Amino acid sequence: MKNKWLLALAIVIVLLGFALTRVVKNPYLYFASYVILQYIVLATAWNILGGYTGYVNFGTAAFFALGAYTSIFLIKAFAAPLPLLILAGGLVSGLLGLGIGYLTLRLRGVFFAIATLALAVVLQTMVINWQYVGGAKGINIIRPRAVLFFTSYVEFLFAVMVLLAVVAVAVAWWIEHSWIGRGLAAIRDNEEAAECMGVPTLKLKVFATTVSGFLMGVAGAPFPYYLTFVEPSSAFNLDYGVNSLAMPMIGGTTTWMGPVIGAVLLGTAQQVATVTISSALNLLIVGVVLVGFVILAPEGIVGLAKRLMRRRSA
Amino acid sequence: MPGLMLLDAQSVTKRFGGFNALTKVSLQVKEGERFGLIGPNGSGKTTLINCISGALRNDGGRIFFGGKEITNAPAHQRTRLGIVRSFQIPKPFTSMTVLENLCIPLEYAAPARSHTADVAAEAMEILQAIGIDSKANVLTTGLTQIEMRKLELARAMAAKPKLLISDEAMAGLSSAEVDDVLTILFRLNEHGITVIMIEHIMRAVMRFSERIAVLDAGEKIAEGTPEEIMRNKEVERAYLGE
Repeated sequence: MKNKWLLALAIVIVLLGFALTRVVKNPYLYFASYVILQYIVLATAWNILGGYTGYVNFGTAAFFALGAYTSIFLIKAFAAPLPLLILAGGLVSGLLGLGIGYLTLRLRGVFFAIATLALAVVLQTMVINWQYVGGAKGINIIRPRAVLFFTSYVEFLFAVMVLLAVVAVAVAWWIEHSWIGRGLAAIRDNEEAAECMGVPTLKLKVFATTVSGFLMGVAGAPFPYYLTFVEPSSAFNLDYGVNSLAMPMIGGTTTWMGPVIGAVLLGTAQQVATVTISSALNLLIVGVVLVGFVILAPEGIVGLAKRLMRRRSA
Repeated sequence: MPGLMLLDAQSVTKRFGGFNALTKVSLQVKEGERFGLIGPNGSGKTTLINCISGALRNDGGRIFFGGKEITNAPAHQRTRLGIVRSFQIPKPFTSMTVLENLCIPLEYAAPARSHTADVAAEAMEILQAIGIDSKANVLTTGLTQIEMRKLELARAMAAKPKLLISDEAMAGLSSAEVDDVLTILFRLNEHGITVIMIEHIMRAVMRFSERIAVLDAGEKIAEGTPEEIMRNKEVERAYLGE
Protein backbone atom coordinates (compact mmCIF):
# COMPACT_ATOMS: atom_id res chain seq x y z
CA MET A 1 0.00 0.00 0.00
CA LYS A 2 2.73 2.40 1.07
CA ASN A 3 4.72 1.40 -1.99
CA LYS A 4 1.89 2.44 -4.29
CA TRP A 5 1.67 5.84 -2.65
CA LEU A 6 5.39 6.37 -3.04
CA LEU A 7 5.25 5.33 -6.68
CA ALA A 8 2.39 7.76 -7.24
CA LEU A 9 4.39 10.48 -5.50
CA ALA A 10 7.36 9.79 -7.76
CA ILE A 11 5.23 10.11 -10.89
CA VAL A 12 3.61 13.29 -9.56
CA ILE A 13 7.03 14.84 -8.93
CA VAL A 14 8.19 14.07 -12.47
CA LEU A 15 4.96 15.53 -13.91
CA LEU A 16 5.23 18.60 -11.67
CA GLY A 17 8.78 19.15 -12.89
CA PHE A 18 7.54 18.97 -16.46
CA ALA A 19 4.58 21.25 -15.71
CA LEU A 20 6.86 23.82 -14.09
CA THR A 21 8.65 24.34 -17.40
CA ARG A 22 5.28 25.32 -18.92
CA VAL A 23 4.64 27.98 -16.33
CA VAL A 24 7.84 29.55 -15.07
CA LYS A 25 10.23 31.04 -17.61
CA ASN A 26 13.08 32.31 -15.44
CA PRO A 27 16.18 30.50 -16.81
CA TYR A 28 18.16 31.00 -13.61
CA LEU A 29 15.65 28.88 -11.71
CA TYR A 30 16.37 25.90 -13.95
CA PHE A 31 20.07 26.57 -13.97
CA ALA A 32 20.18 26.49 -10.15
CA SER A 33 17.68 23.67 -9.68
CA TYR A 34 19.63 21.48 -12.09
CA VAL A 35 22.62 21.62 -9.76
CA ILE A 36 20.54 20.70 -6.73
CA LEU A 37 18.87 17.82 -8.57
CA GLN A 38 22.24 16.62 -9.77
CA TYR A 39 23.35 16.57 -6.15
CA ILE A 40 20.31 14.54 -5.16
CA VAL A 41 21.49 11.90 -7.61
CA LEU A 42 25.13 12.10 -6.48
CA ALA A 43 24.35 12.12 -2.76
CA THR A 44 21.90 9.23 -3.13
CA ALA A 45 24.46 7.27 -5.16
CA TRP A 46 27.17 7.99 -2.61
CA ASN A 47 24.91 6.88 0.21
CA ILE A 48 24.29 3.45 -1.30
CA LEU A 49 27.96 2.68 -0.77
CA GLY A 50 28.86 5.08 2.05
CA GLY A 51 25.70 5.03 4.14
CA TYR A 52 24.24 1.57 3.55
CA THR A 53 27.46 -0.40 3.15
CA GLY A 54 29.89 1.68 5.18
CA TYR A 55 32.57 2.24 2.56
CA VAL A 56 33.49 5.91 2.29
CA ASN A 57 34.09 7.08 -1.26
CA PHE A 58 36.04 10.32 -1.72
CA GLY A 59 36.18 9.87 -5.46
CA THR A 60 32.66 10.86 -6.51
CA ALA A 61 34.26 13.33 -8.94
CA ALA A 62 35.93 10.44 -10.79
CA PHE A 63 32.63 8.66 -11.45
CA PHE A 64 30.82 11.90 -12.24
CA ALA A 65 33.52 13.10 -14.65
CA LEU A 66 33.74 9.71 -16.28
CA GLY A 67 30.04 10.00 -17.08
CA ALA A 68 30.57 13.51 -18.43
CA TYR A 69 33.58 12.54 -20.56
CA THR A 70 31.86 9.45 -21.88
CA SER A 71 29.18 11.83 -23.12
CA ILE A 72 31.73 14.16 -24.68
CA PHE A 73 33.36 11.26 -26.49
CA LEU A 74 30.04 9.96 -27.80
CA ILE A 75 28.87 13.42 -28.84
CA LYS A 76 32.09 14.03 -30.77
CA ALA A 77 32.32 10.59 -32.29
CA PHE A 78 28.69 9.76 -33.06
CA ALA A 79 26.59 12.80 -32.13
CA ALA A 80 24.71 10.40 -29.88
CA PRO A 81 21.34 11.48 -28.39
CA LEU A 82 20.96 12.32 -24.69
CA PRO A 83 19.19 9.12 -23.51
CA LEU A 84 22.00 7.08 -24.98
CA LEU A 85 24.58 9.36 -23.34
CA ILE A 86 22.98 8.87 -19.96
CA LEU A 87 22.89 5.12 -20.36
CA ALA A 88 26.47 4.96 -21.63
CA GLY A 89 27.76 7.28 -18.90
CA GLY A 90 26.09 5.10 -16.31
CA LEU A 91 27.49 1.91 -17.76
CA VAL A 92 31.08 3.16 -18.00
CA SER A 93 31.05 4.54 -14.45
CA GLY A 94 29.27 1.40 -13.28
CA LEU A 95 32.12 -0.62 -14.74
CA LEU A 96 34.60 1.52 -12.83
CA GLY A 97 32.48 0.87 -9.72
CA LEU A 98 32.68 -2.85 -10.40
CA GLY A 99 36.48 -2.60 -10.39
CA ILE A 100 36.43 -0.58 -7.17
CA GLY A 101 34.23 -3.29 -5.66
CA TYR A 102 37.04 -5.79 -5.94
CA LEU A 103 39.36 -3.31 -4.22
CA THR A 104 37.28 -3.80 -1.07
CA LEU A 105 38.74 -7.29 -0.86
CA ARG A 106 42.00 -5.79 0.35
CA LEU A 107 41.23 -2.21 1.30
CA ARG A 108 38.94 -1.23 4.13
CA GLY A 109 38.18 1.87 6.14
CA VAL A 110 40.45 4.81 5.55
CA PHE A 111 42.58 2.93 3.00
CA PHE A 112 39.60 2.42 0.74
CA ALA A 113 38.77 6.13 1.03
CA ILE A 114 42.32 7.09 0.06
CA ALA A 115 42.24 4.73 -2.91
CA THR A 116 39.07 6.35 -4.25
CA LEU A 117 40.63 9.79 -3.88
CA ALA A 118 43.69 8.58 -5.78
CA LEU A 119 41.43 7.17 -8.46
CA ALA A 120 40.02 10.65 -9.14
CA VAL A 121 43.54 12.09 -9.46
CA VAL A 122 44.69 9.34 -11.82
CA LEU A 123 41.61 9.65 -14.05
CA GLN A 124 41.92 13.42 -14.18
CA THR A 125 45.55 13.12 -15.29
CA MET A 126 44.52 10.73 -18.04
CA VAL A 127 41.79 13.04 -19.29
CA ILE A 128 44.13 16.03 -19.21
CA ASN A 129 46.37 14.15 -21.62
CA TRP A 130 43.59 12.98 -23.90
CA GLN A 131 43.36 15.61 -26.63
CA TYR A 132 40.35 14.09 -28.39
CA VAL A 133 38.05 15.14 -25.53
CA GLY A 134 39.71 18.51 -25.10
CA GLY A 135 42.68 17.72 -22.89
CA ALA A 136 43.68 20.32 -20.32
CA LYS A 137 42.23 23.29 -22.17
CA GLY A 138 38.71 21.88 -22.19
CA ILE A 139 36.15 21.46 -24.91
CA ASN A 140 33.11 23.32 -26.21
CA ILE A 141 29.95 21.31 -26.69
CA ILE A 142 27.16 22.69 -28.84
CA ARG A 143 23.69 21.96 -27.54
CA PRO A 144 21.18 20.42 -29.89
CA ARG A 145 18.31 22.63 -30.92
CA ALA A 146 15.45 22.84 -28.46
CA VAL A 147 13.67 19.56 -27.93
CA LEU A 148 10.07 18.70 -28.66
CA PHE A 149 7.70 20.06 -25.97
CA PHE A 150 10.39 22.34 -24.54
CA THR A 151 11.07 25.94 -25.40
CA SER A 152 14.65 25.97 -24.14
CA TYR A 153 17.29 23.29 -23.72
CA VAL A 154 17.95 24.19 -20.07
CA GLU A 155 14.30 23.52 -19.28
CA PHE A 156 14.63 20.17 -21.00
CA LEU A 157 17.77 19.33 -19.01
CA PHE A 158 15.96 20.32 -15.84
CA ALA A 159 13.09 17.95 -16.61
CA VAL A 160 15.57 15.16 -17.40
CA MET A 161 17.33 15.72 -14.10
CA VAL A 162 14.03 15.60 -12.21
CA LEU A 163 13.44 12.20 -13.76
CA LEU A 164 16.98 10.99 -12.97
CA ALA A 165 16.72 12.17 -9.37
CA VAL A 166 13.44 10.33 -8.90
CA VAL A 167 14.89 7.18 -10.44
CA ALA A 168 18.01 7.37 -8.26
CA VAL A 169 15.96 7.80 -5.09
CA ALA A 170 13.65 4.95 -6.16
CA VAL A 171 16.67 2.67 -6.62
CA ALA A 172 17.96 3.61 -3.16
CA TRP A 173 14.50 3.05 -1.67
CA TRP A 174 14.28 -0.38 -3.26
CA ILE A 175 17.74 -1.42 -2.07
CA GLU A 176 17.03 -0.17 1.44
CA HIS A 177 13.80 -2.17 1.73
CA SER A 178 15.04 -5.37 0.12
CA TRP A 179 17.12 -8.26 1.40
CA ILE A 180 20.09 -6.62 -0.30
CA GLY A 181 19.78 -3.57 1.93
CA ARG A 182 19.64 -5.72 5.05
CA GLY A 183 22.76 -7.57 3.90
CA LEU A 184 24.55 -4.29 3.22
CA ALA A 185 23.63 -3.04 6.70
CA ALA A 186 25.12 -6.22 8.18
CA ILE A 187 28.33 -5.58 6.24
CA ARG A 188 28.44 -2.00 7.50
CA ASP A 189 27.95 -3.11 11.10
CA ASN A 190 30.43 -5.97 11.04
CA GLU A 191 31.74 -7.42 7.85
CA GLU A 192 33.30 -10.52 9.42
CA ALA A 193 30.15 -11.42 11.32
CA ALA A 194 28.05 -10.79 8.20
CA GLU A 195 30.12 -13.23 6.16
CA CYS A 196 29.87 -15.81 8.94
CA MET A 197 26.09 -15.39 9.02
CA GLY A 198 25.85 -16.37 5.37
CA VAL A 199 25.91 -12.93 3.75
CA PRO A 200 27.87 -13.09 0.47
CA THR A 201 29.81 -9.96 1.39
CA LEU A 202 31.95 -9.63 -1.73
CA LYS A 203 29.01 -10.04 -4.08
CA LEU A 204 26.94 -7.45 -2.21
CA LYS A 205 29.81 -4.97 -1.94
CA VAL A 206 30.47 -5.24 -5.67
CA PHE A 207 26.76 -4.73 -6.27
CA ALA A 208 26.82 -1.56 -4.12
CA THR A 209 29.90 -0.08 -5.77
CA THR A 210 28.53 -0.83 -9.24
CA VAL A 211 25.10 0.69 -8.64
CA SER A 212 26.63 3.68 -6.86
CA GLY A 213 29.08 4.22 -9.73
CA PHE A 214 26.34 3.78 -12.32
CA LEU A 215 24.17 6.49 -10.75
CA MET A 216 27.10 8.89 -10.43
CA GLY A 217 27.90 8.38 -14.12
CA VAL A 218 24.24 9.00 -14.94
CA ALA A 219 24.43 12.30 -13.05
CA GLY A 220 27.52 13.31 -15.01
CA ALA A 221 26.30 12.36 -18.47
CA PRO A 222 24.12 15.46 -19.19
CA PHE A 223 26.78 17.75 -17.67
CA PRO A 224 28.49 18.73 -20.99
CA TYR A 225 25.16 19.98 -22.36
CA TYR A 226 24.46 21.82 -19.16
CA LEU A 227 27.66 23.87 -19.12
CA THR A 228 28.46 23.62 -22.88
CA PHE A 229 32.10 23.95 -21.90
CA VAL A 230 33.86 21.18 -19.96
CA GLU A 231 37.40 21.17 -18.67
CA PRO A 232 38.99 18.58 -16.38
CA SER A 233 39.25 20.92 -13.41
CA SER A 234 35.50 21.55 -13.42
CA ALA A 235 34.39 17.97 -14.11
CA PHE A 236 36.81 16.51 -11.57
CA ASN A 237 36.19 19.27 -9.03
CA LEU A 238 36.76 18.26 -5.44
CA ASP A 239 33.39 19.86 -4.63
CA TYR A 240 31.63 16.78 -5.98
CA GLY A 241 33.48 14.47 -3.63
CA VAL A 242 33.00 16.71 -0.60
CA ASN A 243 29.38 17.64 -1.27
CA SER A 244 28.12 14.16 -2.07
CA LEU A 245 29.65 12.98 1.20
CA ALA A 246 28.48 15.94 3.28
CA MET A 247 24.87 15.89 2.05
CA PRO A 248 24.03 12.36 3.26
CA MET A 249 25.94 13.00 6.48
CA ILE A 250 23.83 16.08 7.16
CA GLY A 251 20.55 14.51 6.08
CA GLY A 252 21.19 11.10 7.63
CA THR A 253 22.91 8.10 6.07
CA THR A 254 20.64 5.22 7.01
CA THR A 255 17.59 6.11 4.93
CA TRP A 256 16.90 7.20 1.36
CA MET A 257 15.44 10.44 2.69
CA GLY A 258 18.70 11.62 4.25
CA PRO A 259 20.65 12.38 1.06
CA VAL A 260 17.60 14.07 -0.46
CA ILE A 261 17.13 16.36 2.54
CA GLY A 262 20.86 17.07 2.72
CA ALA A 263 21.12 17.80 -1.01
CA VAL A 264 18.13 20.12 -1.00
CA LEU A 265 19.24 22.06 2.09
CA LEU A 266 22.93 22.28 1.36
CA GLY A 267 22.46 22.64 -2.39
CA THR A 268 20.01 25.51 -1.92
CA ALA A 269 22.24 27.21 0.63
CA GLN A 270 25.14 27.00 -1.79
CA GLN A 271 23.13 28.39 -4.68
CA VAL A 272 21.87 31.28 -2.55
CA ALA A 273 25.37 32.01 -1.28
CA THR A 274 26.76 31.95 -4.81
CA VAL A 275 24.34 34.62 -5.90
CA THR A 276 24.26 36.80 -2.81
CA ILE A 277 27.80 36.59 -1.46
CA SER A 278 30.38 34.73 -3.53
CA SER A 279 30.89 31.37 -5.21
CA ALA A 280 34.03 30.80 -3.17
CA LEU A 281 31.92 30.53 -0.04
CA ASN A 282 30.41 27.18 -1.05
CA LEU A 283 32.94 24.83 0.49
CA LEU A 284 33.18 26.97 3.61
CA ILE A 285 29.44 26.56 4.17
CA VAL A 286 29.71 22.80 3.68
CA GLY A 287 32.65 22.60 6.07
CA VAL A 288 31.01 24.57 8.86
CA VAL A 289 27.67 22.78 8.58
CA LEU A 290 29.32 19.36 8.41
CA VAL A 291 31.45 20.00 11.49
CA GLY A 292 28.35 21.16 13.32
CA PHE A 293 26.40 18.06 12.39
CA VAL A 294 29.18 15.60 13.12
CA ILE A 295 29.43 17.04 16.64
CA LEU A 296 25.79 17.80 17.45
CA ALA A 297 23.76 15.34 15.34
CA PRO A 298 25.95 12.54 14.02
CA GLU A 299 22.87 10.69 12.76
CA GLY A 300 21.86 13.63 10.58
CA ILE A 301 18.53 15.37 10.33
CA VAL A 302 16.59 12.13 9.87
CA GLY A 303 18.24 10.61 12.95
CA LEU A 304 17.57 13.77 14.93
CA ALA A 305 13.91 13.80 13.93
CA LYS A 306 13.51 10.14 14.85
CA ARG A 307 15.05 10.74 18.25
CA LEU A 308 12.74 13.68 18.93
CA MET A 309 9.68 11.68 17.89
CA ARG A 310 10.70 8.80 20.11
CA ARG A 311 11.09 11.17 23.04
CA ARG A 312 7.67 12.67 22.46
CA SER A 313 5.95 9.29 22.27
CA ALA A 314 7.81 8.04 25.35
CA MET B 1 23.49 -41.64 10.97
CA PRO B 2 25.39 -41.47 14.23
CA GLY B 3 29.09 -42.16 14.03
CA LEU B 4 29.47 -40.60 10.61
CA MET B 5 32.28 -38.06 10.23
CA LEU B 6 30.71 -34.64 9.95
CA LEU B 7 33.91 -32.64 9.99
CA ASP B 8 37.16 -34.03 8.70
CA ALA B 9 40.12 -31.66 8.77
CA GLN B 10 43.23 -33.31 7.40
CA SER B 11 46.68 -32.02 8.37
CA VAL B 12 45.69 -28.36 8.32
CA THR B 13 48.68 -26.03 8.23
CA LYS B 14 48.58 -22.24 8.59
CA ARG B 15 51.54 -19.88 8.49
CA PHE B 16 51.62 -16.17 9.28
CA GLY B 17 54.84 -14.99 7.67
CA GLY B 18 57.53 -17.12 9.26
CA PHE B 19 55.36 -18.19 12.16
CA ASN B 20 53.70 -21.58 12.03
CA ALA B 21 50.34 -21.03 13.70
CA LEU B 22 49.14 -24.56 12.86
CA THR B 23 51.30 -27.52 11.88
CA LYS B 24 49.50 -30.48 10.34
CA VAL B 25 46.57 -30.49 12.70
CA SER B 26 43.96 -33.14 11.96
CA LEU B 27 40.55 -33.11 13.54
CA GLN B 28 37.65 -35.50 13.07
CA VAL B 29 34.30 -34.73 14.61
CA LYS B 30 31.42 -37.19 14.45
CA GLU B 31 27.85 -36.21 13.77
CA GLY B 32 26.03 -35.36 16.99
CA GLU B 33 29.20 -35.24 19.02
CA ARG B 34 30.14 -32.77 21.75
CA PHE B 35 33.75 -31.97 21.07
CA GLY B 36 36.09 -29.87 23.21
CA LEU B 37 39.08 -27.97 21.89
CA ILE B 38 41.51 -26.73 24.50
CA GLY B 39 45.06 -25.46 24.75
CA PRO B 40 47.07 -22.65 26.32
CA ASN B 41 46.76 -19.09 25.00
CA GLY B 42 48.27 -18.73 21.54
CA SER B 43 48.18 -22.45 20.84
CA GLY B 44 46.19 -21.96 17.63
CA LYS B 45 42.63 -22.83 18.67
CA THR B 46 41.02 -19.77 17.14
CA THR B 47 43.24 -20.03 14.05
CA LEU B 48 42.03 -23.59 13.53
CA ILE B 49 38.43 -22.45 13.91
CA ASN B 50 39.05 -19.63 11.45
CA CYS B 51 40.39 -22.14 8.93
CA ILE B 52 37.41 -24.45 9.43
CA SER B 53 34.82 -21.66 9.22
CA GLY B 54 36.54 -20.02 6.26
CA ALA B 55 37.62 -16.72 7.82
CA LEU B 56 41.18 -17.79 6.98
CA ARG B 57 42.45 -20.06 4.20
CA ASN B 58 44.75 -22.83 5.31
CA ASP B 59 48.14 -23.06 3.55
CA GLY B 60 48.22 -26.85 3.66
CA GLY B 61 45.84 -29.73 4.25
CA ARG B 62 42.25 -30.30 3.26
CA ILE B 63 38.93 -29.86 5.02
CA PHE B 64 35.81 -31.94 4.41
CA PHE B 65 32.34 -31.32 5.76
CA GLY B 66 29.65 -33.96 5.43
CA GLY B 67 31.85 -35.77 2.91
CA LYS B 68 32.21 -32.69 0.72
CA GLU B 69 35.49 -30.84 0.30
CA ILE B 70 35.25 -27.22 1.48
CA THR B 71 38.94 -26.29 1.57
CA ASN B 72 38.44 -23.43 -0.88
CA ALA B 73 34.84 -22.46 -0.17
CA PRO B 74 34.22 -18.89 1.03
CA ALA B 75 32.97 -18.47 4.59
CA HIS B 76 29.36 -17.63 3.74
CA GLN B 77 29.02 -20.84 1.73
CA ARG B 78 30.36 -22.89 4.61
CA THR B 79 27.78 -21.22 6.83
CA ARG B 80 25.05 -22.23 4.39
CA LEU B 81 26.37 -25.80 4.42
CA GLY B 82 25.97 -25.76 8.19
CA ILE B 83 29.25 -24.67 9.80
CA VAL B 84 28.36 -21.79 12.07
CA ARG B 85 30.62 -20.16 14.62
CA SER B 86 30.13 -17.71 17.40
CA PHE B 87 32.83 -15.16 18.11
CA GLN B 88 35.09 -14.94 21.12
CA ILE B 89 34.45 -11.21 21.28
CA PRO B 90 30.77 -10.76 20.38
CA LYS B 91 30.32 -9.05 17.02
CA PRO B 92 26.67 -7.95 16.94
CA PHE B 93 25.18 -5.85 14.14
CA THR B 94 25.09 -2.65 16.14
CA SER B 95 22.60 -0.64 14.10
CA MET B 96 19.98 -3.36 14.44
CA THR B 97 17.75 -4.57 17.23
CA VAL B 98 18.33 -7.98 18.79
CA LEU B 99 15.51 -9.42 16.68
CA GLU B 100 16.88 -7.94 13.45
CA ASN B 101 20.28 -9.42 14.28
CA LEU B 102 18.69 -12.86 13.99
CA CYS B 103 16.86 -12.04 10.80
CA ILE B 104 20.13 -11.72 8.87
CA PRO B 105 21.19 -15.39 9.27
CA LEU B 106 17.56 -16.55 8.96
CA GLU B 107 17.34 -14.78 5.64
CA TYR B 108 20.83 -15.48 4.34
CA ALA B 109 22.15 -18.65 5.91
CA ALA B 110 19.36 -21.02 6.87
CA PRO B 111 19.17 -23.82 4.27
CA ALA B 112 15.45 -23.25 3.64
CA ARG B 113 16.11 -19.55 3.39
CA SER B 114 13.88 -17.25 1.48
CA HIS B 115 13.83 -13.50 1.27
CA THR B 116 10.10 -13.23 1.61
CA ALA B 117 9.18 -15.54 4.47
CA ASP B 118 8.25 -14.06 7.80
CA VAL B 119 11.57 -14.52 9.53
CA ALA B 120 10.68 -12.27 12.44
CA ALA B 121 8.37 -14.86 14.01
CA GLU B 122 11.03 -17.51 13.72
CA ALA B 123 13.63 -15.16 15.19
CA MET B 124 11.34 -14.57 18.14
CA GLU B 125 11.04 -18.32 18.77
CA ILE B 126 14.82 -18.63 18.92
CA LEU B 127 15.08 -15.68 21.29
CA GLN B 128 12.50 -17.34 23.53
CA ALA B 129 14.42 -20.60 23.49
CA ILE B 130 17.62 -18.81 24.51
CA GLY B 131 15.76 -16.63 27.01
CA ILE B 132 16.44 -13.10 25.75
CA ASP B 133 13.07 -12.50 24.10
CA SER B 134 12.41 -9.61 26.49
CA LYS B 135 15.23 -7.73 24.71
CA ALA B 136 13.96 -8.41 21.19
CA ASN B 137 13.39 -4.79 20.26
CA VAL B 138 16.41 -3.32 22.03
CA LEU B 139 19.50 -2.17 20.14
CA THR B 140 22.47 -4.42 20.83
CA THR B 141 24.34 -1.55 22.46
CA GLY B 142 21.95 -1.82 25.41
CA LEU B 143 22.82 -5.43 26.26
CA THR B 144 24.78 -6.75 29.21
CA GLN B 145 27.76 -9.06 28.76
CA ILE B 146 25.77 -12.27 29.32
CA GLU B 147 22.96 -11.08 27.05
CA MET B 148 25.54 -10.31 24.38
CA ARG B 149 26.88 -13.88 24.65
CA LYS B 150 23.38 -15.27 24.40
CA LEU B 151 22.68 -13.10 21.37
CA GLU B 152 25.84 -14.47 19.79
CA LEU B 153 24.53 -18.02 20.35
CA ALA B 154 21.01 -17.13 19.27
CA ARG B 155 22.31 -15.62 16.05
CA ALA B 156 24.38 -18.72 15.42
CA MET B 157 21.27 -20.86 15.97
CA ALA B 158 19.33 -18.74 13.51
CA ALA B 159 21.81 -19.84 10.84
CA LYS B 160 20.49 -23.40 11.38
CA PRO B 161 23.86 -25.03 12.00
CA LYS B 162 24.75 -28.69 11.67
CA LEU B 163 28.02 -27.90 13.39
CA LEU B 164 28.16 -25.11 15.96
CA ILE B 165 31.59 -23.83 16.90
CA SER B 166 31.41 -21.95 20.15
CA ASP B 167 34.54 -19.86 20.58
CA GLU B 168 34.94 -19.06 24.28
CA ALA B 169 31.28 -18.25 24.77
CA MET B 170 31.78 -18.28 28.53
CA ALA B 171 34.90 -16.22 29.06
CA GLY B 172 34.34 -13.61 31.73
CA LEU B 173 30.98 -14.95 32.91
CA SER B 174 30.05 -15.79 36.48
CA SER B 175 29.68 -19.46 37.38
CA ALA B 176 25.87 -19.26 37.35
CA GLU B 177 26.03 -17.70 33.91
CA VAL B 178 28.44 -20.38 32.73
CA ASP B 179 25.85 -23.00 33.76
CA ASP B 180 23.26 -21.02 31.88
CA VAL B 181 25.24 -21.13 28.64
CA LEU B 182 26.15 -24.80 29.19
CA THR B 183 22.47 -25.66 29.47
CA ILE B 184 21.80 -23.95 26.16
CA LEU B 185 24.63 -25.83 24.45
CA PHE B 186 23.47 -29.18 25.89
CA ARG B 187 19.98 -28.51 24.63
CA LEU B 188 21.22 -27.63 21.15
CA ASN B 189 23.16 -30.87 21.10
CA GLU B 190 20.06 -32.82 22.09
CA HIS B 191 18.42 -31.38 19.00
CA GLY B 192 21.07 -33.03 16.89
CA ILE B 193 23.54 -30.18 16.49
CA THR B 194 27.19 -31.15 16.67
CA VAL B 195 29.12 -28.78 18.92
CA ILE B 196 32.78 -27.87 19.08
CA MET B 197 33.49 -25.96 22.24
CA ILE B 198 36.61 -23.89 22.67
CA GLU B 199 36.96 -22.95 26.27
CA HIS B 200 39.40 -22.10 29.02
CA ILE B 201 36.95 -22.91 31.80
CA MET B 202 37.97 -26.52 32.43
CA ARG B 203 34.99 -27.34 34.61
CA ALA B 204 32.73 -26.53 31.67
CA VAL B 205 34.74 -28.30 28.94
CA MET B 206 35.23 -31.45 30.98
CA ARG B 207 31.55 -31.65 31.81
CA PHE B 208 30.39 -30.90 28.31
CA SER B 209 32.73 -32.76 26.01
CA GLU B 210 32.60 -36.39 24.97
CA ARG B 211 35.96 -36.03 23.31
CA ILE B 212 38.66 -33.40 23.68
CA ALA B 213 41.61 -32.38 21.52
CA VAL B 214 44.50 -30.40 22.97
CA LEU B 215 46.54 -27.93 20.94
CA ASP B 216 49.91 -26.58 21.97
CA ALA B 217 52.07 -24.26 19.86
CA GLY B 218 50.10 -25.09 16.75
CA GLU B 219 50.25 -28.86 17.11
CA LYS B 220 47.77 -31.38 18.39
CA ILE B 221 49.39 -33.03 21.39
CA ALA B 222 46.54 -35.15 22.68
CA GLU B 223 43.04 -36.36 21.96
CA GLY B 224 40.67 -38.48 23.97
CA THR B 225 37.92 -38.58 26.55
CA PRO B 226 38.00 -35.96 29.34
CA GLU B 227 39.40 -38.59 31.76
CA GLU B 228 42.21 -39.50 29.39
CA ILE B 229 43.07 -35.86 28.83
CA MET B 230 43.21 -35.14 32.54
CA ARG B 231 45.66 -38.02 33.07
CA ASN B 232 47.81 -37.06 30.07
CA LYS B 233 51.33 -36.04 31.09
CA GLU B 234 51.97 -34.01 27.98
CA VAL B 235 48.86 -31.92 28.49
CA GLU B 236 49.94 -31.23 32.03
CA ARG B 237 53.34 -30.16 30.77
CA ALA B 238 51.81 -27.85 28.16
CA TYR B 239 49.69 -26.10 30.76
CA LEU B 240 51.98 -26.06 33.75
CA GLY B 241 55.49 -26.42 32.31
CA GLU B 242 58.12 -28.88 33.45
